[in-house]
Amino acid sequence: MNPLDPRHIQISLQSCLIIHIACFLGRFSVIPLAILSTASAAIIFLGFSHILKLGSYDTRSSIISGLSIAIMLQVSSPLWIIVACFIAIASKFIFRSQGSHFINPSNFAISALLLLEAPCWLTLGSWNQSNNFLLLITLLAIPLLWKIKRMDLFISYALAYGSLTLLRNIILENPWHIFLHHFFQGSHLIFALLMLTDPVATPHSRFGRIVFSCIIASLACYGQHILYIPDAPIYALFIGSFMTPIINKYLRGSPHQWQTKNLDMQAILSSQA
Amino acid sequence: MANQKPRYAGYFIFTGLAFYLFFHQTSSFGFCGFFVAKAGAKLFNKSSQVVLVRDENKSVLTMGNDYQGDVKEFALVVPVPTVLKEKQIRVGEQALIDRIDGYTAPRLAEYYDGDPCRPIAEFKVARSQMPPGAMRKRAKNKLGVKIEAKYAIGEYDILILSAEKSSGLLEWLNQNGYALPKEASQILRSYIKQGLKFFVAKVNLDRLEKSGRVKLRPLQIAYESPRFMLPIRLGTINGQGFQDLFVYAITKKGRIELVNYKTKKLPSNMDIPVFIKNDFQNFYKDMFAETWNKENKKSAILEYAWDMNWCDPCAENPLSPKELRGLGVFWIEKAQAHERGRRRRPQGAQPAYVTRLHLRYNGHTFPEDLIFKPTQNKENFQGRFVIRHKWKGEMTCEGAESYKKSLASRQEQEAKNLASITGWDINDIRKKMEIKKVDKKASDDWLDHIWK
Repeated sequence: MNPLDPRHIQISLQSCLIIHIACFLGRFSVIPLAILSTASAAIIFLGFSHILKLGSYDTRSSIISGLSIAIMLQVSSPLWIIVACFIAIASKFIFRSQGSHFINPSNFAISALLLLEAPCWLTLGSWNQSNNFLLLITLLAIPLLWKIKRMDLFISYALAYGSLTLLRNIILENPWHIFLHHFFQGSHLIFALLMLTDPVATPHSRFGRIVFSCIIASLACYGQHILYIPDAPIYALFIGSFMTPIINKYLRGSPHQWQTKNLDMQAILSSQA
Repeated sequence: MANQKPRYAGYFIFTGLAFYLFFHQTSSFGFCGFFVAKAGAKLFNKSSQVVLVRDENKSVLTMGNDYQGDVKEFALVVPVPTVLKEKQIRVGEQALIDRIDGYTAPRLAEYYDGDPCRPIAEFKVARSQMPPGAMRKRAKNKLGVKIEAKYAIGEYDILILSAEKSSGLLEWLNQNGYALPKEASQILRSYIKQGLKFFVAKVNLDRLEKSGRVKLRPLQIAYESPRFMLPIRLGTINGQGFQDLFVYAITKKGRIELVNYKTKKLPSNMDIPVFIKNDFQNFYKDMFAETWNKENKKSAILEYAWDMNWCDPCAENPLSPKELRGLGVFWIEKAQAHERGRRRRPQGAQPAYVTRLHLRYNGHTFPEDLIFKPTQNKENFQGRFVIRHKWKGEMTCEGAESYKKSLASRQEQEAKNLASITGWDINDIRKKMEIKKVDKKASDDWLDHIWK
């Protein structure tokens, strides 16, 4: 097992976030829920693998999906965590194009449950007083983004979202500190760092990723400021994911490949967040 | 002019409430002990109260009016998303805001230790308080301000304004007795560009006199908009330092979340020293301040979130359907409210969930207007504190020694709890409790018990 596998780095970062949520944000229930979600996601993946006779037992990507769900989604009953994991893992096998899934599994599950008005919700403001910790997480995530070649996606999203927010701020003649307050929302940073940058469900070419990030950022801003939907970035990725196959068709690039022995199974195994 | 009283005291922030101590000695019995005290919003100087009712895109906003100055000076400016018709504006009752404030206030529950020398009697307690259930005028003046509508409602003269330029609006407001400072211009400009209209109100002295009322009543507005926000920016320009805002939000399905700021829960379910019973209001104020300080003064504090069908223990009875309708809970049917309003306590489930948020803010710590979203989070939370009275009767059994020791360590823990959540000096607390610091090592000396 390679300790520097990007998936191991991602699982470590997600574990740090979970510990921070439990110890500093006062949501102790996140720990049992994270255990439940990782176990559920892994078991559901193995179940699918067995039924579809894929012969794959690498559950790391599923664990990442499970942890993402535990970090972002709050539920009225643990049952909904299992439902979310099922939707996430199932989406990997349903929404496929060019041999790999193009939907971010955990984003799809969270969006689906919110749109279906299941008793689940996101607490967007909860990270607002954790600036130092989030700065540390961002620094630690740089090697991960570098390894999976998605640093361009993160930077272009930050620039696109920042530019649009700044433009709005200038049009409304709001003072600078309103822009800064709005731009540095902790939950949005976590979304951009660890969910948006899924190496499998994002375009293969660099230019494609820049186009993709601009689409997501525009949808997120439109949703937040015109439609007044606070969870807009989540829905923006949900909608934008369906553009990935189209972008890949016209802006070709080499697909991301995890370091796995069974190369035939890479597409199925490779998923993140 | 320099000595003139500021006339913009109530932009939608009604300030100047005299310090008001509240000690409510009731004996409504609760599942978790006897409720003995509550601490409401009226403890805070420069505080304002807003009741927000929200379902889908429909909102009803009740703005509590505790304005204490000369009513001639009263002026209110509220940005609103649409031009309001007369039927969307109403004058409400302050008593209803006081009711919801009382119902959601942090509370103190009281227990009495039993005789340690008697076997513990098992008893069942029923959960208390848990029932099952215009004239229109469209003249646009040269300042670019259009009076979209003009209403006379209750003791208020109300105008709905739209504007093209903030400078024109500011000048118009100043010319018409709404004295806003220059700094308001930038904020007004932002609101104008967001397409917001302005709800402005002044008191009509003739009608107020005829009504025989002394106090101004709250204004209520109802509107339909996807925006679920509370504009606080205008209230931050008067440079009066931090202000307290209490938001009581009522929805059908669950808690509301503050989207653009962190929400921290008030400390709760803690044992604190008995002397707090007589000082609960100061305790609440200092505990709130300490919690807020620990959050770098940048978080909202959640003080209550509960299904409005019950409470445990109850600081006040839950609001009846009639009272809820009075606060604008429009999904409760009129017939239901009328029928049930006659009863002392509501019967049958009412789809209403209340969230109480307490904010202390200024323009630096809360630069943006408050943005909310409803959630399906129905987890109940309350600011509840417990005092336990020691057994004062005679103790002659073997268990008495053990009780005395556990009592000492319990009291020490109560002192530590109080110090940690209020920032009070622990030695002062011990002095008030008439206890000495417990040396845990000494008190747990195993040799004391080895031959017993």
